Amino acid sequence: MRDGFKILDTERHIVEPVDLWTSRLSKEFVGRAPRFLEGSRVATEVAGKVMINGGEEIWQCVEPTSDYDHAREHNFSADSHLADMDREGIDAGLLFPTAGLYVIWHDDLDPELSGAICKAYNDWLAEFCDVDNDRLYGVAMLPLQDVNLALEEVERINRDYDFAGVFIRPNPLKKRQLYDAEYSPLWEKLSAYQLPVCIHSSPGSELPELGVRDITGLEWPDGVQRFVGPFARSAISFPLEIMGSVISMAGEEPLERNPELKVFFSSGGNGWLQFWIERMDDEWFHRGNDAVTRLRPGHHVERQCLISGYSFENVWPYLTHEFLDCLSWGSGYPHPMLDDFPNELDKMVGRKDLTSEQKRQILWDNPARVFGIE
Amino acid sequence: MKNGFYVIDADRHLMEPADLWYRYIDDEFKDRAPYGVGEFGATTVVDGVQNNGGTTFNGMDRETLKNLRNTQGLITGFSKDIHWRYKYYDAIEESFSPKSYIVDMDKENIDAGVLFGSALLYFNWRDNIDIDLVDASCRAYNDWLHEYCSYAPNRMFGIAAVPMHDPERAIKEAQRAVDLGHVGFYLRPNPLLGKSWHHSDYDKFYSAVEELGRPICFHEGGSTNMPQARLPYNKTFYARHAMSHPFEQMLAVISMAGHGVMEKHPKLKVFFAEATCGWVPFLLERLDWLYEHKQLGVDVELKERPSFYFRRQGMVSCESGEETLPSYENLVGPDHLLWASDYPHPDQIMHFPHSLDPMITDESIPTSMIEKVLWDNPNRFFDLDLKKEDFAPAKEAA
Repeated sequence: MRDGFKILDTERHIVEPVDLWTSRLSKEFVGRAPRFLEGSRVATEVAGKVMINGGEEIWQCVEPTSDYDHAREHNFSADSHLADMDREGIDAGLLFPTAGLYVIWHDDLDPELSGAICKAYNDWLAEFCDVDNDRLYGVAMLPLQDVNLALEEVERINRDYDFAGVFIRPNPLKKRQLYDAEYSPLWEKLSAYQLPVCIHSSPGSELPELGVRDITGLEWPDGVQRFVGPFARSAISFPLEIMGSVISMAGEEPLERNPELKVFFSSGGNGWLQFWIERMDDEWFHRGNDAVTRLRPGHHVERQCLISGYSFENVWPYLTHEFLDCLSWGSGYPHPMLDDFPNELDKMVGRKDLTSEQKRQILWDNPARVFGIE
Repeated sequence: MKNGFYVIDADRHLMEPADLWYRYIDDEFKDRAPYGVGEFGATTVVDGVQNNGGTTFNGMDRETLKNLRNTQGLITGFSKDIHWRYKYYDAIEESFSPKSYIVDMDKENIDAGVLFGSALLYFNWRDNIDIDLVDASCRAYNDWLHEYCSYAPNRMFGIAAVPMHDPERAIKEAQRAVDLGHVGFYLRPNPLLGKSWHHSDYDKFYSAVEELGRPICFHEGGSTNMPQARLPYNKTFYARHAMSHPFEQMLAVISMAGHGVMEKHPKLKVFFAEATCGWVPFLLERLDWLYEHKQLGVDVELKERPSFYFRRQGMVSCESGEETLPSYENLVGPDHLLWASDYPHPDQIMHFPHSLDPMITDESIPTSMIEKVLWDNPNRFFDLDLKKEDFAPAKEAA
């Protein structure tokens, strides 16, 4: 609770123990288990490949800052996580990975190995959340190199665990966009199991990066690297890649074909929301002769999506007229996107341009409804 | 003037004749000159290679392309659209002559317009292209543009083409373009020759443009063959177009305001055109936030926050009826916005000839802001020095 508001933080990260995979992978895979690069909790090497694009400056985009040295001392354990939630006034949190933002996201990763990495992660995450199931809600990883393996993992986690949803990167993997027909069985299954798709971006994956390493030029099949540093790549990869995934899901078939499927867009903030809905809908109207949806993209966003925004954003009051039901709040703990730990919530609950009722919806009711949290 | 508002339209388009370059280029380049595909197509084939819209017309010579013009079904771009041909019948009948252009401006009560091309968005924007040919093509375009605008020099103001493959030559052509009366320089935001726009190779060009006092104008065009910020492998053009304009402009703002170009060139004016305005508040807010961040902003070396430079030197355009105008007014400010019809491109086709109406009747924006957006801002930004009294209806009647 903070100032009388129940708080569900929709964007938190666990920090994987460095022996997570080396201690859990079976004999068959352990030789190729992800190993952390010296001094990093983000960058790993898997089967000889460094799973991050860019040097240490880029890892720093998601590397926990010195603000969390106290948690680091406890190896970012569930207990330390819960203690920090108490300090922040957060009742429950949705848990995304840290190294997991990168560890499997490579076109050439052996799908079986990817599957083993995801299984080990999900088993570990379930144990982490078991420390307090009323407050910790995990988001599972899926080996998307092979959709059939991903479907098997969805079956398994749905049977054995109680995760809040599944995490998916917005970047194209193996030249597939999120709207590709190959993913259709996945969206159907997740919809049937009421498992929301939780899309989360970050700079520096080994996949094509929108606006940073564009692979769209006819003369540039291997892409053009436009920006290298953390400033530009943070400015681009968090919001723009998410906006791209919005049009993939809502402007193409996945959401329309699966009206019960819920999609959560996190890490991009919410400043783009009003602009992007208007832009997508206008373009759909003017140039949509080749569009595949029966209804405008914005309709699907309003009906099926949740978006998490940050405290520092100033568009909140402009969003409440049309999109109040789609809004939630996320801190980014313990990544650099959270820059006022443990007081980040103060800015949010103290906003004079939102009513108490609106804050209640954003901070608890909306995400609790989407993720089925009582 | 409409409803008491005098109007400068900051982003209109010409429909270049397919044989523009063939007619205006130096003799030695005639055989390789850009040639348009289709009667009103923005697609060009240059030196045997299609510059935009894919590769279908690769290898076709001028005669072949000319004959394609009359073949039903091979007309490219939005001129295929029956609504387009329905709305712009006067101009189509006259092949978009200067006279018909002014007729359509009058239909909309637009006093003056800043004129981009259509093929301008593409004809010199390819990496693997002979620089001498690019240079000559730009000169041909600018000469033609000068002649076109001469029809109504106080109402039509051209945006010039410059050969950015070679900044030295671009400087020369920019100077010549200003002498011809053009009011800005067209740049694609996409990376040319693999370089971002904050690359130091462009510094001398920016310095020269500062001295000329005319803005550079970034403007995307959806069907480019260049690297483009959009989903790779995407299949629907609407999604590609929805993304490419604002996304490319956001990247251009990051280059110009975030990576020090505007700081280094304080008099350089930069127009980020035709991408609507709703993305500006959140982008500037995020850039400022990152700038101040101890871990994420380590590689930014600016004296002021990025938004400071955008406000000092930047400009974007809006269309009529954008829902984000109130947030733009409050979070960015009314002095950094122009209005654009995008005539005769499809963005506001359903409003034509009333594309001003949603803007001048929008009760969510103060009248003072509408006046700035429609007249004061473009007049100042492009240094047009127009006087409202010269456009007063009474005088026209007299």
